[in-house]
Amino acid sequence: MNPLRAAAPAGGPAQPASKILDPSELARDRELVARILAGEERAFEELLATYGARLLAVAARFCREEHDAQDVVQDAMLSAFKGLGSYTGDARLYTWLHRIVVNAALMRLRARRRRPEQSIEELLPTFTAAGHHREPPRRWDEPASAKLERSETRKQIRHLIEQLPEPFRVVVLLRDIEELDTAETAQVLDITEQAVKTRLHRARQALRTLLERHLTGSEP
Amino acid sequence: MNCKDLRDKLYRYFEGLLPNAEEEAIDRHAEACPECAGLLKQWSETTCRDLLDFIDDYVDGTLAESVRTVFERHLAICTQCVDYLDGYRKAIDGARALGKAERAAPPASMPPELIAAILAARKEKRS
Ligand SMILES: [Zn+2]
Ligand SMILES: [Zn+2]
Repeated sequence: MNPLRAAAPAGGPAQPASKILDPSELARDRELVARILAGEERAFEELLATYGARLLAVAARFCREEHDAQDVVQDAMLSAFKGLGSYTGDARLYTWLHRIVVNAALMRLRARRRRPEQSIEELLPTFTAAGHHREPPRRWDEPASAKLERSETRKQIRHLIEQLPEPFRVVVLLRDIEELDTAETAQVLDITEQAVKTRLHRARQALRTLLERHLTGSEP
Repeated sequence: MNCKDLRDKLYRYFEGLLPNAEEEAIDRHAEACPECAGLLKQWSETTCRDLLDFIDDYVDGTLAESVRTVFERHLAICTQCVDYLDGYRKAIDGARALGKAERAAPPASMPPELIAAILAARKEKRS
């Protein structure tokens, strides 16, 4: 029996420290929502002016086309307006709106899914029959990895993430870019938490392969 | 055959890539050397593929102590997994750094025509 499997499982991942909520900001959010619900015209415009640009940026991170991102924000804002009564006021309004935009973006992506899904297999490591790496993993050292911090390299990472097959690109966006936790990601994708972990794991393996090819100049 | 030779040939030994004479030399050495016998046992117990399944929990620091020990024992004898893990971490760090930068970047402004379109659509829905 493989001792890695025989050993007891860990007691679950540590929960991230809950985000600290500023009560005065929450109060301002609640007040704005109350004014919109009371039918004050200006209040909804105020909400768009306050949060619109940031939400549009979120949508743009998911959509490949700028006009899609705008449509997503429009859809999201209309459903936010319709569902405003369900905003409970114990999270920031931005957080609540952010989830609505993410959901709208995912809906748009599903509707847009065009070309047949390309396979991720080609980007996963391969093993010998005895279970060892078939291709020795290449190591890229400080000069290349220090570049990870720089902005043009961030652009390249962005570009590499965009090359992942859609479900894998989306899970990286949700978990690592938008910082949803596993449970939230499972909810918006309507899959189990275990499926989120498996998908993220494969996405990271693929991203590692793409990075390795990119940074060691070994494009296939 | 000494301990270092054995170590260098481990990979090929387990992949069946060694000439018979060398394979036998390894077996003979291991019979006499408990340390190398332990190494062979360890290497056959945990494979690189096994390690991959636990890599996220390892990176997140959520592996149970007992599993982590086995994980690290494999790392101690397998440079391939050390290199793989290094790149895996860099992939995660790269994505997270990108996320942090994108979330912190000041957003482009909200196009006024989009605001107008949303307000118009809302009025339409209500009427
Ligand atoms: Zn020895
Ligand atoms: Zn290994």
